[in-house]
Amino acid sequence: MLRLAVFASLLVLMQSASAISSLHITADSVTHDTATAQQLELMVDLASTTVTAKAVHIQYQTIEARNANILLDYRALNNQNQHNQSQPSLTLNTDLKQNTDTSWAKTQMYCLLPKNLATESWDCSNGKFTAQRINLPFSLSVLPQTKGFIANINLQNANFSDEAGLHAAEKLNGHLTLVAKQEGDTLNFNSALNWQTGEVFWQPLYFANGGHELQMQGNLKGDIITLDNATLKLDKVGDLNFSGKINTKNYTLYKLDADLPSLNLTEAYPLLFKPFLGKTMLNDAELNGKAALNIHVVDSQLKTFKIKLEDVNIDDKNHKFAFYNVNADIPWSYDDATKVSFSYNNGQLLNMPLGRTNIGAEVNRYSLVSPSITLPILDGTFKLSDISAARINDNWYWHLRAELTPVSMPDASRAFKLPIMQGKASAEIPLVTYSGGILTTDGEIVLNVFDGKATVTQLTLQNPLSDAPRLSADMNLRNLDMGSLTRTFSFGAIEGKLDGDVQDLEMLNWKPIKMDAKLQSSDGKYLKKISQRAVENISSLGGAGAAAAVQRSVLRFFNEFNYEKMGLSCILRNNICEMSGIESTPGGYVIVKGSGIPAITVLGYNKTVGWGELVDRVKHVIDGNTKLIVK
Amino acid sequence: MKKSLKKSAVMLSIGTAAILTACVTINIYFPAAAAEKAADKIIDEVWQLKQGQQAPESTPADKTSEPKPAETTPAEAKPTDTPAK
Amino acid sequence: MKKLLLSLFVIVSILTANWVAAAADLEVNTPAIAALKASMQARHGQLSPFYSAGAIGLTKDGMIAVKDATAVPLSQRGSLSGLVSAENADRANLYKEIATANGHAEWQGDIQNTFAGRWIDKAQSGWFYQSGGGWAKK
Repeated sequence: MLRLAVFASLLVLMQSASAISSLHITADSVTHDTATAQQLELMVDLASTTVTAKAVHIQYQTIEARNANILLDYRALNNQNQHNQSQPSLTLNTDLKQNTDTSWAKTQMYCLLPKNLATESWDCSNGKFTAQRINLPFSLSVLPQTKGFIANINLQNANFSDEAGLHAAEKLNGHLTLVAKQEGDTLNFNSALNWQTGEVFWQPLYFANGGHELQMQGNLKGDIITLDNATLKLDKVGDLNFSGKINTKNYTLYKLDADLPSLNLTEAYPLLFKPFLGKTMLNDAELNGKAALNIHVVDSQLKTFKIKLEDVNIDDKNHKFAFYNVNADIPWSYDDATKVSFSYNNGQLLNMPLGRTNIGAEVNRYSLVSPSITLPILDGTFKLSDISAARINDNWYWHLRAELTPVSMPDASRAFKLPIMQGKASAEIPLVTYSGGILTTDGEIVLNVFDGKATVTQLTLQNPLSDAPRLSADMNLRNLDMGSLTRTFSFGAIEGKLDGDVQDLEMLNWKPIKMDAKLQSSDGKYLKKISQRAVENISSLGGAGAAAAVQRSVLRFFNEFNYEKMGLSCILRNNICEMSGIESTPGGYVIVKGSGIPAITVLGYNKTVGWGELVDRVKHVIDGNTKLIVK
Repeated sequence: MKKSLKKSAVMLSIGTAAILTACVTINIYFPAAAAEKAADKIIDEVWQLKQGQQAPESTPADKTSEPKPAETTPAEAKPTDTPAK
Repeated sequence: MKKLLLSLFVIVSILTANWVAAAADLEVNTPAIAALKASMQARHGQLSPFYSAGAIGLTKDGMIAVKDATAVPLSQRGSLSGLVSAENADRANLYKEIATANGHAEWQGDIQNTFAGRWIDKAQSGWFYQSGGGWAKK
């Protein structure tokens, strides 16, 4: 239905009296269905057999065109053409944009027209679509079919980018075949997209190379797309087969079945996973092995999925964790409880070696329970029992009981790169709770070290695997053998027993930021002897003066002294350690109170010491540097 | 004479008290100069600039193109009005 | 009487001197601040070329923002937003930690404002910073 609106003036130019050689029609506005053209101009040149159509503005649905220019060149039929072409041609030039866009894109196309327009192929080469930040050279061939067409589009060295640069491609070469056929109100299609070469950034994904294919076969009816059969082949990564039904207006997913039988994790991790892992602890790992994935969605609800991992190795590049030979079978269903299994051969977590572990659990929609998990660690085992976890409002909550059977301290000290300590460590924690990123323990962790007992209570850990883990705890040491302690840390020999109390310890990134710490010789009768070197070292912790005094005095002639009591305490706040000893004196405090002959009393005078300086001093002492750096 | 002296002494102690309270009050205000100094120190470390020095390629704002001595706090050295960029 | 005045003056000057001394420095040497500084210093090596290319700029609130991602090769664009958000998280923490280290959590905003000006003042020429409603080049 063509309606010529307003005025249409017909101009017939007579070049000779006998024949009409050209027609010139102008119209202010022409409307056809949903298309409107303004200031339309049509020139038919019968002498040279060309038709030129121009429109200043065209509106079609949501697309606008301006300065549209179409030239139909039929000179080929009378061998008058300049291009030496044997076929008639169509040249199109126009500015295009979506209604909502502010800038225009230029489109130009040059097509050779077949003799039979309805049954033969139209070949358009040298097509170009350009706009600010977009340059898409293309060639196109369209073969008309009954109620449809077969189109082949080639992109040649195309570049595009949105304004923010978050969706962009460079040097893109690709091919699209599209077969479409209208049947009633349904449009059937079959398309094959072949991305040959070129790089694409589609935030947050980056593809450095092509070699990927997407095939889709389905139909479009109103707003609903049904995919009967689709395959996405990602080069080196894997093939994803999927089908489903989606509403394109409100994105309601009526149905989705997706199957990824074999995913190469080595390639898939950097390409597909890492960009989405942002600041999580998994974002800087090396991954290899194979995975399989299967998903079913019905009416926008995830109904079932199944993940399988086969001999997967995960290695954190920051060495916070590693798991090797991971095998997993994790089925999940919205409606039914499932049994999941997960195992690894070995690995490490925060430098703690992990032995072969099998985990089995029952999953019921968003919660998980498991009677017990045994994690072999060094020569002991870490036993978790009564485990229950639930995901509520996108947060994990879990609690469990934990027990560490004796682990040999020499092995543990090697694992944590500490001086080799003797003894065994064991722990029992009646309840561990994790909620909102905070790990809390009730009960005590008991370490049996240096023939004594170290007890850790009130232990909480915030964001344990992040860059800034925060730990708080109270700690008690009882009857530690100072002989083996001082030998381990090469501090100069002291014979005796040590008690310690660390209250309100707070550590950030495993460095103390706050504590009330007190170390002193245990009560009771036992051999109490201190070597001269230890006296110097202890003195230097309280300040340089005392150490020098020992050196100058007659005491340097003795190797060993008896003591009655010794102790040192530090209240750490704002990076300053406020120090005191077992008793205070005018202007100082007593660190070692001697007894017998020769009796030695070590006094400290510096009541405040910078924490960093104190740590440096202790390090120098332990490193066996007899020369102390006195600041 | 004595009276006036006494009076002035009283005035002075009131004034002193006022100054004292003023000092105490000022103390809880934000220490802008100290904060600038702290900021400069941290920025120098993060951006690995030389102590108190502006970024290498920028034109020096004052005649001294050599690194400023460590004692000179950048807060003091900073011109009151920001240089044109 | 004179003695009284003198002693008052002495007291005043002592107290004032104490106050000046106390205000001379902010505490910035805590482990938390040191950790943040180290993390930002390590990241700066990656951010530096992006500043120079004009891909990112310094905002007037003491943070950084993506100014023009197209100035960065496609292969590096993915890391850009991650680096920017990590840097901003560190900066926000830094301002908070300085405020709390000095016992005045309420200073955080003032500290952030102070830093905002100093980052821009110390920026290399060629780097972009927010000025008024848009970006300006140093």
